[in-house]
Amino acid sequence: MSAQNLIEVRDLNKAFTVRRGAFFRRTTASTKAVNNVSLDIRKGEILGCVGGSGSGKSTLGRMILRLIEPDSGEVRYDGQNLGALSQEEMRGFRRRMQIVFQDPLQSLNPRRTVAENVERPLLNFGTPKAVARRRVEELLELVGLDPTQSYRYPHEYSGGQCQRIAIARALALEPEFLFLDEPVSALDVSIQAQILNLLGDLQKKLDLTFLFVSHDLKIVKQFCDRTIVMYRGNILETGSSEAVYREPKHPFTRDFLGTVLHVRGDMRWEQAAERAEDLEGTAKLGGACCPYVGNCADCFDACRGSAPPLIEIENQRNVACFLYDHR
Amino acid sequence: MSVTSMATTSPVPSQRFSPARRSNLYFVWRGVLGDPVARIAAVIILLLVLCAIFAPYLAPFPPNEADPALRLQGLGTPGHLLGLDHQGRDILSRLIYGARLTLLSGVVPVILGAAISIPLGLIGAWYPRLGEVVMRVMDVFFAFPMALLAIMLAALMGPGLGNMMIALVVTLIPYNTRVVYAAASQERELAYIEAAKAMATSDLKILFVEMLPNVVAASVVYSCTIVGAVVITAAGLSFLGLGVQPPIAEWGIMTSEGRSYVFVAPHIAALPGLAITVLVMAFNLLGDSLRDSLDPKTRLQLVKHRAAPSADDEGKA
Repeated sequence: MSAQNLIEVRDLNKAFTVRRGAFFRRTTASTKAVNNVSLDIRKGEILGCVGGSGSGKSTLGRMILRLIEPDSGEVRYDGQNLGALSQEEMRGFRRRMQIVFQDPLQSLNPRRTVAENVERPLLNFGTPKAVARRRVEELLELVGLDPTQSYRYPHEYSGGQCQRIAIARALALEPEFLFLDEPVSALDVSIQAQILNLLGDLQKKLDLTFLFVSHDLKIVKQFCDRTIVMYRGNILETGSSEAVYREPKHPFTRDFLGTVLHVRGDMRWEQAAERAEDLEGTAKLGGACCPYVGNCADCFDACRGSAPPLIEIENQRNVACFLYDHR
Repeated sequence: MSVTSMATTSPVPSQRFSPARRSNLYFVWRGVLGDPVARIAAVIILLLVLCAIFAPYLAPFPPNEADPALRLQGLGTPGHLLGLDHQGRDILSRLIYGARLTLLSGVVPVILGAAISIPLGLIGAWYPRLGEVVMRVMDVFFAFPMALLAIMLAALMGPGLGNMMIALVVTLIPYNTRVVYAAASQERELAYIEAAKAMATSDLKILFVEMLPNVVAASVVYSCTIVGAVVITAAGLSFLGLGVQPPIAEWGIMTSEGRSYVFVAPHIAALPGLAITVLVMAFNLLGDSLRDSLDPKTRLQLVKHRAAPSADDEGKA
């Protein structure tokens, strides 16, 4: 590992329980959203995170930003354990990491003008109003918007433009880390490219580190340096984006690539859709076993007995699958 | 006047930061004035307020001066345009004086109630435990019909205008709190609130800077619709001897007093009843218009649609 780690995640766990009532609390259901996840994010890299819906990718990112408190495990940001910080100390770290959401319109306050939306983080950290206003102009120009229109309201802008505004707001505090939670999923394909180019340019210009969550392997392959593949709260595979895309090791990654890519002609669309449903649809199996055992074409006895650990099979390639576990 | 999609079109000097930024008040003003229905409603309310303020100068007779000879005379009696009531008092004068207490007992409790309900609903939605306590307490109040609760409270505190208004405020709080709580609970889940957390916005600022403008419209509209119910409840309390005491002119009392003469002289009850109806309708229509002009999504179209062409850039440069 040559580059320095900006973020180190160790054994992070989060289970969501569905509770009813505030006083007569009873747990009615529990889902393990993130299960024993450890990962490193290096300074200046774009780490992609792919997986189907409900695979825990967003939860993972929110726990890194401490928008959701983890059940156990720790997140170290620049060597500092964020979980140990008081609310007041956490404020200081909030300037250094920001988030961009999937739904751009929803992530802006509809009753505040674009300028008010973008200047809010600056005002929170005590920037004088006049300085903040000038900075808002710079930021809007930085993301390719016309600052003279900043008195307008978010709904007057298109989805792509709103996403630019959200990016400008996220950059206002000059963070070094951005958590991009499916930033292009809600946009038209033509706009997706624009936003991705913008993010790529900004990353180089401002020397940012990204955690880029997506369910689109193609985008992750083009945009990210490294990729982690998640399924039901577990990391199944990691590696350089190129390697994960070119030769997926884990059976899930192969199936997942299949659902996304091999869609040519009417028949194949349907098959892919069915396959994708299969991947998510099976009931969760109890006890210790591989999380993907229900759908895996290659599963054998060992898979049902215990969950495979994430092991390094070649240089910077980690897979959690007994097929590669030759110990 | 479309927004440019890609890089900035021209270098713009920074002094021209917000050429057309306008306050909410501007849009409320334009929205209400631009909408003929709302304009009428606003004029009616304004006239009523003027009547209330300048009653002694406007009313042809003192409100309690009786001329028993002309008891129960109908509309158009010489010198008494709207007739006289069962004691021979001039109805027009009593209506003009009555506007004072009717507005005071109908509108002021609604405003005070909203002022308490909005923070209560917001805080309740933000802190789930506290919210649960608040809303369960509200549920207890909901168990009683509005009028009954007001009667109970007014009876406990004794008659009088002040006590009646307090009783009405307490009665109104659960309703408005529920409206604000529901709206705020929805807003709480939206991404812009999470974004606010991520940028270290304090709880107080999230509630009162970010959330408040998004829930206040619901409360304003609701408050406007409930004015009518409050006027009627206040009249009911007065009728029961718990509010304003009878010789004083108040529309609710006038309506209930005229009740006994409804077959002989229907105008005694009908005229104050009509006045209440007009007041209630005016507030309802104004409430609708306020909702539209408070919402940035609808108000721009409203203003654009109604304004002369190119009114868009008339602001200071």
